[in-house]
Amino acid sequence: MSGQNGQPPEPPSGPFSHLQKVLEGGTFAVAAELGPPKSADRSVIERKADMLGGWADAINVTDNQTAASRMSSMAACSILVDKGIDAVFQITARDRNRLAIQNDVMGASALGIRNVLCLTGDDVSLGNHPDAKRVHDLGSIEMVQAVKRMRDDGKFISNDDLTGEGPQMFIGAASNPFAPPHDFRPVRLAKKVRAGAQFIQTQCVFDLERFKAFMADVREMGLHEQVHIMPGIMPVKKPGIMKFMAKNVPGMMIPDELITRMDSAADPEEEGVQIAVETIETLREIEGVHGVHIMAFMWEKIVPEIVQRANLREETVT
Amino acid sequence: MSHAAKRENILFRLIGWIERVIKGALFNFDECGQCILKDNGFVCPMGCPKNLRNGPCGGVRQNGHCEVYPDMTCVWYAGITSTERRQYLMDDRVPRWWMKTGLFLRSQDKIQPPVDWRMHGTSSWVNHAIKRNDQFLFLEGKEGLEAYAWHMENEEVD
Repeated sequence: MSGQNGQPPEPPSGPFSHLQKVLEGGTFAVAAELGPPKSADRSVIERKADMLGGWADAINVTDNQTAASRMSSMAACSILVDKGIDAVFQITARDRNRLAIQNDVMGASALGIRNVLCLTGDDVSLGNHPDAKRVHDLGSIEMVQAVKRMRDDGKFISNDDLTGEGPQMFIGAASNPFAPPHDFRPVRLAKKVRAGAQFIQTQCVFDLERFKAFMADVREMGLHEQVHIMPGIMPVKKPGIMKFMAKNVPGMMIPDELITRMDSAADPEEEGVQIAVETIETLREIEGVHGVHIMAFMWEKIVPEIVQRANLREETVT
Repeated sequence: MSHAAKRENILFRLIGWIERVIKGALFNFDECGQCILKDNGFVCPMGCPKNLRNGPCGGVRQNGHCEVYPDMTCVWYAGITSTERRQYLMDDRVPRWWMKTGLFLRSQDKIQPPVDWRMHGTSSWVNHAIKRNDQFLFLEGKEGLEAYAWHMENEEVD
């Protein structure tokens, strides 16, 4: 698909998705996360979509979250698209080699999915098939580059040409400001941006001081003007879950005062929501934060309450 | 030994053995055949269970250990936090605002291309010498533009 006179073809101009329109329009965006079930039950996706749909600009569908085998992310995204919801297709390098990554991205675009989030993926040892072979043919940065190259240059990784239009997608990647080495995190983010990432969703924010330091580095490098950063928010139901995450989930930072706060609360669920709302309010004040990504893992029904209490939406979007 | 290595001639295999002995003793060596040790502050990224060649994943534990093997220090963490290695990997002498111009790439800012698995098991010294890993697809900056222009000129336009 080389252009005329040997020049590279004009990259397709956006916006590709509703999420991109919201972010580029300067509105504080809300993305919510939906975990597909460990079954082929379509009604689970539909029920969760009805719960979240009106409250978020886009819904992320996880790809074999925590490395446990689940319904395909692309299939679940397609169900959301059929319901008129903007879906973010999460795709991991853990389960696919470069052929499968490219074919899934093209397939997703053909199904009308307009956002893709490229991830390296949790390791298989954390999931329900610790005996599986991990693929990791590409890393997340190379994946972002491959999707951008297919979209803008009409070429595969191998330099072979696409025979028609490339995936029409808004490209995202993840970042974890909390995992050491902390001074390398903005450097890696800069690489993702240069590779072609247009929006960034981060690991759940509990430690606001660390996140502010990360954002200061990001602003110093001028990255906040090149990419839309959407920090992750995770409402926690029970103090036990928070303690478990602090101890066992790699790359997570949870300050002790939050754990004591959850421990001493009379109503832990209410306290968890309150912490999430306060975190969103603080994050909104930080320059360069353009939205939030609410990951209510196994607790999707709380999302409307958080969105309302944090004054992100007065009424439903649709 | 990989199939690629078996097809090599005896001289190349000999060089491969020497490379394997030296790098095997010093680094977390995996014979990818496209060595980027010099760009990475002599951290072999193939020692990472996820084979990440562009920096550490988000699963590094707070003590700097690997998500996959809790007893192992993350290969990237080891490189970035060690003073001797850091001077190769993180060129701190270059001010950060240079990055905004996009003209100057420090070694930590280079995006490494995906591994060419056809070369796995062969000697990267040989591959460098005979330019077997002359990939230009993912080169950046001036180098990349030149390679791209060369490719466009030499490609048959249909």
